[in-house]
Amino acid sequence: MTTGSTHEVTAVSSDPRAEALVRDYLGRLQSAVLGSPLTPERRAELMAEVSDHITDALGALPETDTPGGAPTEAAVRNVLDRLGAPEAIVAAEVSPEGSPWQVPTTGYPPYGGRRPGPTAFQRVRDPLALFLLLFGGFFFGVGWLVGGAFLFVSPSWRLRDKLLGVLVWPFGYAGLGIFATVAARTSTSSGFCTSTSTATPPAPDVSSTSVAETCTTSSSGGLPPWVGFLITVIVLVAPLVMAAWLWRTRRVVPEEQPA
Amino acid sequence: MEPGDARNVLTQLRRGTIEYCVLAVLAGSPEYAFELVRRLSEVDGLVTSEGTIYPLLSRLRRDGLVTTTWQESAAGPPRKYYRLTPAGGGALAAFTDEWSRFRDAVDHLLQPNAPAAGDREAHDDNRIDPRGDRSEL
Repeated sequence: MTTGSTHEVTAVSSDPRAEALVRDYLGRLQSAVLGSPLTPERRAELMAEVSDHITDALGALPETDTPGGAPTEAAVRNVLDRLGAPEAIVAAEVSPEGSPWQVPTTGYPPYGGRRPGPTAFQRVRDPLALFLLLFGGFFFGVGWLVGGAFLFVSPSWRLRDKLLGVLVWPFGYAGLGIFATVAARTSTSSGFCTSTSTATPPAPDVSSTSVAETCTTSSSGGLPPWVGFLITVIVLVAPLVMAAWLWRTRRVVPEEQPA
Repeated sequence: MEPGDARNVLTQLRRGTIEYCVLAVLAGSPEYAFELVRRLSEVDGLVTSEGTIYPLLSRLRRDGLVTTTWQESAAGPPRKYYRLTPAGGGALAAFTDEWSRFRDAVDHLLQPNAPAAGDREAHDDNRIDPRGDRSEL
Protein backbone atom coordinates (compact mmCIF):
# COMPACT_ATOMS: atom_id res chain seq x y z
CA MET A 1 0.00 0.00 0.00
CA THR A 2 2.95 2.23 0.49
CA THR A 3 4.37 1.63 -2.91
CA GLY A 4 3.61 5.08 -4.14
CA SER A 5 6.94 6.74 -3.62
CA THR A 6 9.03 8.03 -6.46
CA HIS A 7 12.11 6.24 -5.20
CA GLU A 8 10.68 2.77 -5.65
CA VAL A 9 9.60 3.57 -9.17
CA THR A 10 12.83 5.09 -10.28
CA ALA A 11 14.79 2.27 -8.71
CA VAL A 12 13.49 0.19 -11.61
CA SER A 13 15.75 2.06 -13.97
CA SER A 14 19.43 2.68 -13.63
CA ASP A 15 19.35 5.08 -16.55
CA PRO A 16 19.47 8.58 -15.03
CA ARG A 17 17.52 10.07 -17.92
CA ALA A 18 14.77 7.46 -17.59
CA GLU A 19 14.71 8.13 -13.88
CA ALA A 20 14.39 11.86 -14.49
CA LEU A 21 11.46 11.25 -16.84
CA VAL A 22 9.53 9.38 -14.20
CA ARG A 23 10.40 11.88 -11.50
CA ASP A 24 9.28 14.72 -13.73
CA TYR A 25 6.05 12.94 -14.57
CA LEU A 26 5.15 12.28 -10.96
CA GLY A 27 6.12 15.86 -10.09
CA ARG A 28 3.65 17.13 -12.65
CA LEU A 29 0.99 14.80 -11.30
CA GLN A 30 1.62 16.05 -7.79
CA SER A 31 1.28 19.66 -8.90
CA ALA A 32 -1.94 18.81 -10.69
CA VAL A 33 -3.53 17.05 -7.71
CA LEU A 34 -2.46 19.83 -5.36
CA GLY A 35 -4.21 22.32 -7.61
CA SER A 36 -7.39 20.22 -7.70
CA PRO A 37 -10.36 20.10 -5.34
CA LEU A 38 -9.67 16.44 -4.51
CA THR A 39 -9.58 15.37 -0.88
CA PRO A 40 -6.14 14.76 0.64
CA GLU A 41 -6.94 11.04 0.85
CA ARG A 42 -7.87 10.80 -2.80
CA ARG A 43 -4.82 12.85 -3.82
CA ALA A 44 -2.50 10.45 -2.03
CA GLU A 45 -4.39 7.46 -3.42
CA LEU A 46 -4.22 8.71 -7.00
CA MET A 47 -0.51 9.43 -6.66
CA ALA A 48 0.04 5.91 -5.36
CA GLU A 49 -2.11 4.34 -8.07
CA VAL A 50 -0.28 6.05 -10.92
CA SER A 51 3.06 5.41 -9.31
CA ASP A 52 2.25 1.72 -8.89
CA HIS A 53 1.07 1.64 -12.48
CA ILE A 54 4.44 2.90 -13.68
CA THR A 55 6.20 0.32 -11.53
CA ASP A 56 4.03 -2.46 -12.95
CA ALA A 57 4.38 -1.22 -16.52
CA LEU A 58 8.16 -0.99 -16.31
CA GLY A 59 8.28 -4.38 -14.65
CA ALA A 60 6.25 -5.89 -17.47
CA LEU A 61 8.50 -4.60 -20.26
CA PRO A 62 9.91 -7.20 -22.63
CA GLU A 63 13.59 -7.94 -22.47
CA THR A 64 14.26 -5.96 -25.62
CA ASP A 65 13.24 -2.82 -23.75
CA THR A 66 15.35 -3.66 -20.73
CA PRO A 67 18.86 -4.36 -21.90
CA GLY A 68 20.98 -5.10 -18.88
CA GLY A 69 17.88 -5.22 -16.67
CA ALA A 70 17.10 -1.50 -16.84
CA PRO A 71 14.40 -0.01 -19.07
CA THR A 72 15.61 2.24 -21.85
CA GLU A 73 14.67 5.89 -21.96
CA ALA A 74 12.46 5.23 -24.98
CA ALA A 75 10.63 2.46 -23.17
CA VAL A 76 10.00 4.69 -20.15
CA ARG A 77 8.81 7.45 -22.41
CA ASN A 78 6.40 5.04 -24.06
CA VAL A 79 4.99 3.94 -20.69
CA LEU A 80 4.41 7.55 -19.67
CA ASP A 81 2.88 8.43 -23.03
CA ARG A 82 0.40 5.62 -22.65
CA LEU A 83 -0.57 6.90 -19.23
CA GLY A 84 -1.45 10.27 -20.72
CA ALA A 85 -0.71 13.73 -19.40
CA PRO A 86 -0.84 13.97 -15.59
CA GLU A 87 -3.04 17.02 -15.91
CA ALA A 88 -5.50 15.03 -18.04
CA ILE A 89 -5.72 12.31 -15.40
CA VAL A 90 -6.56 14.83 -12.71
CA ALA A 91 -8.99 16.55 -15.06
CA ALA A 92 -10.81 13.25 -15.56
CA GLU A 93 -10.96 12.86 -11.81
CA VAL A 94 -12.54 16.25 -11.36
CA SER A 95 -14.83 16.24 -14.38
CA PRO A 96 -15.88 12.86 -15.81
CA GLU A 97 -17.30 14.64 -18.86
CA GLY A 98 -13.85 15.80 -19.78
CA SER A 99 -12.38 12.35 -19.48
CA PRO A 100 -9.82 12.24 -22.27
CA TRP A 101 -10.16 8.64 -23.31
CA GLN A 102 -9.78 9.98 -26.77
CA VAL A 103 -8.93 13.33 -28.20
CA PRO A 104 -11.70 15.64 -27.08
CA THR A 105 -14.06 16.77 -29.75
CA THR A 106 -14.19 20.43 -30.54
CA GLY A 107 -17.24 22.47 -31.29
CA TYR A 108 -19.46 19.51 -31.87
CA PRO A 109 -22.24 18.35 -29.59
CA PRO A 110 -21.74 14.86 -28.18
CA TYR A 111 -23.46 11.99 -29.89
CA GLY A 112 -26.85 11.68 -28.28
CA GLY A 113 -25.95 14.62 -26.10
CA ARG A 114 -28.18 17.40 -25.02
CA ARG A 115 -28.61 20.42 -27.18
CA PRO A 116 -27.07 23.48 -25.55
CA GLY A 117 -29.40 24.72 -22.85
CA PRO A 118 -30.80 28.22 -22.61
CA THR A 119 -28.43 30.92 -21.51
CA ALA A 120 -28.69 32.32 -18.00
CA PHE A 121 -30.50 35.37 -19.38
CA GLN A 122 -33.01 33.27 -21.28
CA ARG A 123 -33.77 31.30 -18.13
CA VAL A 124 -34.53 34.30 -15.93
CA ARG A 125 -36.04 36.53 -18.60
CA ASP A 126 -39.61 35.29 -18.50
CA PRO A 127 -40.11 35.25 -14.71
CA LEU A 128 -38.29 38.56 -14.47
CA ALA A 129 -40.54 40.06 -17.11
CA LEU A 130 -43.66 39.13 -15.14
CA PHE A 131 -42.21 40.41 -11.88
CA LEU A 132 -41.23 43.73 -13.45
CA LEU A 133 -44.62 44.12 -15.09
CA LEU A 134 -46.21 43.87 -11.65
CA PHE A 135 -43.78 45.77 -9.48
CA GLY A 136 -41.18 47.26 -11.82
CA GLY A 137 -43.09 50.53 -11.92
CA PHE A 138 -41.90 51.29 -8.41
CA PHE A 139 -38.39 51.65 -9.78
CA PHE A 140 -39.23 55.08 -11.22
CA GLY A 141 -41.28 53.40 -13.90
CA VAL A 142 -38.16 52.15 -15.65
CA GLY A 143 -38.50 48.64 -14.25
CA TRP A 144 -41.91 48.26 -15.84
CA LEU A 145 -40.58 49.38 -19.21
CA VAL A 146 -37.78 46.83 -18.94
CA GLY A 147 -40.32 44.15 -18.00
CA GLY A 148 -42.39 45.06 -21.05
CA ALA A 149 -39.32 44.87 -23.25
CA PHE A 150 -38.47 41.42 -21.88
CA LEU A 151 -42.04 40.34 -22.48
CA PHE A 152 -41.92 41.45 -26.10
CA VAL A 153 -38.55 39.90 -26.93
CA SER A 154 -39.52 36.60 -25.37
CA PRO A 155 -40.67 33.93 -27.83
CA SER A 156 -42.67 32.26 -25.06
CA TRP A 157 -45.88 34.21 -25.71
CA ARG A 158 -48.11 35.21 -28.57
CA LEU A 159 -48.60 38.88 -29.39
CA ARG A 160 -52.12 38.78 -27.94
CA ASP A 161 -50.77 37.69 -24.57
CA LYS A 162 -48.02 40.26 -24.70
CA LEU A 163 -50.53 43.06 -25.26
CA LEU A 164 -52.56 41.75 -22.35
CA GLY A 165 -49.44 41.87 -20.23
CA VAL A 166 -48.76 45.55 -20.81
CA LEU A 167 -52.39 46.74 -20.78
CA VAL A 168 -53.26 45.20 -17.38
CA TRP A 169 -52.14 47.60 -16.08
CA PRO A 170 -49.70 50.11 -17.49
CA PHE A 171 -46.88 50.51 -14.96
CA GLY A 172 -48.36 47.73 -12.84
CA TYR A 173 -49.17 48.40 -9.22
CA ALA A 174 -47.18 51.60 -9.26
CA GLY A 175 -49.41 52.81 -12.07
CA LEU A 176 -52.49 51.89 -10.06
CA GLY A 177 -51.14 53.77 -7.05
CA ILE A 178 -50.49 56.89 -9.07
CA PHE A 179 -53.87 56.67 -10.73
CA ALA A 180 -55.62 56.27 -7.37
CA THR A 181 -53.72 59.22 -5.88
CA VAL A 182 -54.52 61.49 -8.77
CA ALA A 183 -58.13 60.39 -8.77
CA ALA A 184 -58.44 61.06 -5.06
CA ARG A 185 -57.01 64.59 -5.36
CA THR A 186 -59.21 65.64 -8.24
CA SER A 187 -62.27 64.19 -6.64
CA THR A 188 -64.06 65.94 -3.85
CA SER A 189 -64.35 62.79 -1.89
CA SER A 190 -63.46 59.17 -2.05
CA GLY A 191 -65.86 56.61 -3.33
CA PHE A 192 -66.24 55.07 0.03
CA CYS A 193 -67.57 56.09 3.26
CA THR A 194 -68.60 54.29 6.28
CA SER A 195 -71.80 55.09 7.84
CA THR A 196 -71.40 56.23 11.37
CA SER A 197 -74.95 55.84 12.16
CA THR A 198 -75.98 56.49 15.65
CA ALA A 199 -79.51 55.92 14.80
CA THR A 200 -81.78 54.13 17.06
CA PRO A 201 -83.12 50.83 15.87
CA PRO A 202 -84.88 51.23 12.57
CA ALA A 203 -88.11 52.92 12.97
CA PRO A 204 -90.33 54.73 10.55
CA ASP A 205 -89.12 57.89 12.09
CA VAL A 206 -88.06 60.97 10.18
CA SER A 207 -84.97 61.64 12.33
CA SER A 208 -83.29 58.29 11.59
CA THR A 209 -83.39 58.67 7.78
CA SER A 210 -80.97 61.60 7.89
CA VAL A 211 -78.06 59.45 9.06
CA ALA A 212 -77.39 57.85 5.71
CA GLU A 213 -77.08 61.23 4.09
CA THR A 214 -73.65 61.93 5.59
CA CYS A 215 -71.85 60.13 2.84
CA THR A 216 -73.71 60.73 -0.33
CA THR A 217 -71.10 62.96 -1.90
CA SER A 218 -69.35 59.98 -3.40
CA SER A 219 -68.20 60.20 -7.00
CA SER A 220 -69.47 56.76 -7.73
CA GLY A 221 -72.48 58.22 -9.36
CA GLY A 222 -75.03 56.72 -7.15
CA LEU A 223 -73.67 53.18 -7.19
CA PRO A 224 -73.98 51.33 -3.93
CA PRO A 225 -70.70 51.10 -1.93
CA TRP A 226 -70.27 47.34 -2.48
CA VAL A 227 -70.05 47.89 -6.21
CA GLY A 228 -67.14 50.29 -5.72
CA PHE A 229 -65.51 47.82 -3.40
CA LEU A 230 -65.93 45.03 -5.93
CA ILE A 231 -64.42 47.13 -8.72
CA THR A 232 -61.46 47.98 -6.51
CA VAL A 233 -60.84 44.33 -5.74
CA ILE A 234 -61.05 43.38 -9.40
CA VAL A 235 -58.68 46.18 -10.39
CA LEU A 236 -56.20 45.10 -7.72
CA VAL A 237 -56.38 41.40 -8.49
CA ALA A 238 -56.35 41.73 -12.30
CA PRO A 239 -52.54 42.10 -12.63
CA LEU A 240 -52.00 38.99 -10.53
CA VAL A 241 -54.47 37.04 -12.65
CA MET A 242 -52.73 38.38 -15.75
CA ALA A 243 -49.32 37.27 -14.49
CA ALA A 244 -50.62 33.85 -13.53
CA TRP A 245 -52.26 33.49 -16.92
CA LEU A 246 -49.08 34.47 -18.76
CA TRP A 247 -47.06 32.04 -16.65
CA ARG A 248 -49.46 29.23 -17.45
CA THR A 249 -49.62 29.93 -21.17
CA ARG A 250 -45.86 30.34 -21.39
CA ARG A 251 -44.40 27.98 -23.96
CA VAL A 252 -40.70 27.34 -23.56
CA VAL A 253 -39.25 27.04 -27.04
CA PRO A 254 -35.63 26.37 -27.99
CA GLU A 255 -33.84 29.56 -28.83
CA GLU A 256 -30.81 30.47 -30.83
CA GLN A 257 -27.69 30.66 -28.74
CA PRO A 258 -25.66 33.81 -29.05
CA ALA A 259 -22.47 33.02 -30.95
CA MET B 1 -23.89 16.16 -38.72
CA GLU B 2 -21.09 16.72 -41.16
CA PRO B 3 -19.37 14.02 -43.16
CA GLY B 4 -16.17 12.81 -41.58
CA ASP B 5 -17.49 13.07 -38.05
CA ALA B 6 -17.68 9.33 -37.62
CA ARG B 7 -14.55 9.47 -35.50
CA ASN B 8 -16.20 11.90 -33.15
CA VAL B 9 -19.18 9.61 -32.84
CA LEU B 10 -16.92 6.70 -32.02
CA THR B 11 -15.06 8.82 -29.51
CA GLN B 12 -18.30 9.50 -27.71
CA LEU B 13 -19.30 5.86 -27.94
CA ARG B 14 -16.03 4.77 -26.38
CA ARG B 15 -16.38 7.34 -23.67
CA GLY B 16 -19.88 6.21 -22.90
CA THR B 17 -19.18 2.48 -22.95
CA ILE B 18 -15.75 2.24 -21.33
CA GLU B 19 -17.08 1.95 -17.82
CA TYR B 20 -19.23 -1.00 -18.83
CA CYS B 21 -16.23 -2.58 -20.50
CA VAL B 22 -14.45 -2.24 -17.16
CA LEU B 23 -17.38 -3.87 -15.39
CA ALA B 24 -17.43 -6.63 -18.00
CA VAL B 25 -13.76 -7.41 -17.49
CA LEU B 26 -14.26 -7.48 -13.71
CA ALA B 27 -17.28 -9.76 -14.10
CA GLY B 28 -14.88 -12.47 -15.21
CA SER B 29 -12.63 -12.22 -12.20
CA PRO B 30 -11.31 -9.55 -9.85
CA GLU B 31 -8.35 -7.71 -11.29
CA TYR B 32 -5.81 -5.17 -10.22
CA ALA B 33 -5.75 -1.96 -12.20
CA PHE B 34 -2.69 -2.54 -14.31
CA GLU B 35 -3.92 -5.90 -15.50
CA LEU B 36 -7.35 -4.42 -16.12
CA VAL B 37 -5.83 -1.72 -18.32
CA ARG B 38 -3.78 -4.31 -20.16
CA ARG B 39 -6.90 -6.30 -20.97
CA LEU B 40 -8.80 -3.22 -22.08
CA SER B 41 -5.87 -2.17 -24.25
CA GLU B 42 -6.04 -5.45 -26.12
CA VAL B 43 -9.19 -4.08 -27.72
CA ASP B 44 -7.94 -1.76 -30.41
CA GLY B 45 -8.37 1.90 -29.69
CA LEU B 46 -10.51 1.48 -26.61
CA VAL B 47 -8.09 3.13 -24.24
CA THR B 48 -5.71 5.85 -25.28
CA SER B 49 -4.96 7.43 -21.94
CA GLU B 50 -4.38 4.62 -19.48
CA GLY B 51 -4.05 6.90 -16.49
CA THR B 52 -7.68 7.95 -16.69
CA ILE B 53 -8.68 4.42 -15.66
CA TYR B 54 -7.97 5.47 -12.08
CA PRO B 55 -10.49 8.32 -11.93
CA LEU B 56 -12.96 5.96 -13.58
CA LEU B 57 -12.35 3.16 -11.06
CA SER B 58 -12.61 5.65 -8.23
CA ARG B 59 -15.98 6.77 -9.54
CA LEU B 60 -17.22 3.20 -9.95
CA ARG B 61 -16.22 2.47 -6.39
CA ARG B 62 -17.92 5.62 -5.15
CA ASP B 63 -21.07 4.56 -7.00
CA GLY B 64 -20.94 1.15 -5.33
CA LEU B 65 -20.44 -0.76 -8.59
CA VAL B 66 -17.05 -2.14 -7.58
CA THR B 67 -15.23 -2.77 -4.32
CA THR B 68 -11.54 -3.04 -3.63
CA THR B 69 -9.49 -5.44 -1.54
CA TRP B 70 -5.77 -5.61 -0.95
CA GLN B 71 -4.10 -8.88 -1.81
CA GLU B 72 -0.57 -10.03 -1.41
CA SER B 73 1.19 -10.67 -4.70
CA ALA B 74 3.69 -13.42 -5.35
CA ALA B 75 6.29 -10.89 -6.38
CA GLY B 76 6.36 -7.30 -5.23
CA PRO B 77 4.06 -5.23 -3.06
CA PRO B 78 0.40 -6.01 -2.25
CA ARG B 79 -2.05 -5.02 -4.95
CA LYS B 80 -5.46 -3.46 -4.89
CA TYR B 81 -7.96 -5.77 -6.59
CA TYR B 82 -11.23 -4.52 -8.00
CA ARG B 83 -14.26 -6.72 -7.70
CA LEU B 84 -17.77 -6.33 -9.15
CA THR B 85 -20.54 -5.72 -6.60
CA PRO B 86 -24.11 -7.02 -7.10
CA ALA B 87 -25.08 -3.48 -8.07
CA GLY B 88 -22.27 -3.47 -10.61
CA GLY B 89 -23.49 -6.78 -11.97
CA GLY B 90 -26.98 -5.37 -12.30
CA ALA B 91 -25.72 -2.28 -14.12
CA LEU B 92 -23.69 -4.45 -16.47
CA ALA B 93 -26.65 -6.75 -17.23
CA ALA B 94 -28.92 -3.78 -17.96
CA PHE B 95 -26.33 -2.22 -20.24
CA THR B 96 -25.61 -5.50 -22.02
CA ASP B 97 -29.29 -5.85 -22.87
CA GLU B 98 -29.61 -2.29 -24.13
CA TRP B 99 -26.37 -2.50 -26.04
CA SER B 100 -27.37 -5.70 -27.85
CA ARG B 101 -30.58 -4.12 -29.04
CA PHE B 102 -28.82 -0.94 -30.06
CA ARG B 103 -26.06 -2.82 -31.89
CA ASP B 104 -28.55 -5.04 -33.73
CA ALA B 105 -30.64 -2.09 -34.77
CA VAL B 106 -27.65 -0.17 -36.11
CA ASP B 107 -26.28 -3.25 -37.84
CA HIS B 108 -29.64 -3.89 -39.42
CA LEU B 109 -29.79 -0.40 -40.88
CA LEU B 110 -26.18 -0.32 -41.99
CA GLN B 111 -26.30 -3.76 -43.61
CA PRO B 112 -29.91 -4.47 -44.51
CA ASN B 113 -28.93 -7.47 -46.64
CA ALA B 114 -26.65 -9.06 -44.11
CA PRO B 115 -28.72 -10.32 -41.22
CA ALA B 116 -26.90 -10.63 -37.97
CA ALA B 117 -26.05 -14.12 -36.81
CA GLY B 118 -28.97 -15.72 -35.02
CA ASP B 119 -31.29 -13.05 -36.32
CA ARG B 120 -32.06 -14.41 -39.77
CA GLU B 121 -35.77 -14.77 -39.45
CA ALA B 122 -36.08 -11.33 -38.00
CA HIS B 123 -34.36 -9.80 -40.98
CA ASP B 124 -37.33 -9.11 -43.20
CA ASP B 125 -39.88 -8.75 -40.47
CA ASN B 126 -37.73 -6.23 -38.74
CA ARG B 127 -38.91 -3.37 -40.86
CA ILE B 128 -41.39 -2.74 -38.14
CA ASP B 129 -39.52 -3.54 -35.01
CA PRO B 130 -41.79 -5.55 -32.73
CA ARG B 131 -40.05 -4.15 -29.69
CA GLY B 132 -40.50 -0.62 -30.87
CA ASP B 133 -36.82 0.17 -30.39
CA ARG B 134 -36.52 2.23 -33.47
CA SER B 135 -37.46 5.42 -31.79
CA GLU B 136 -34.32 5.12 -29.73
CA LEU B 137 -32.25 5.65 -32.80
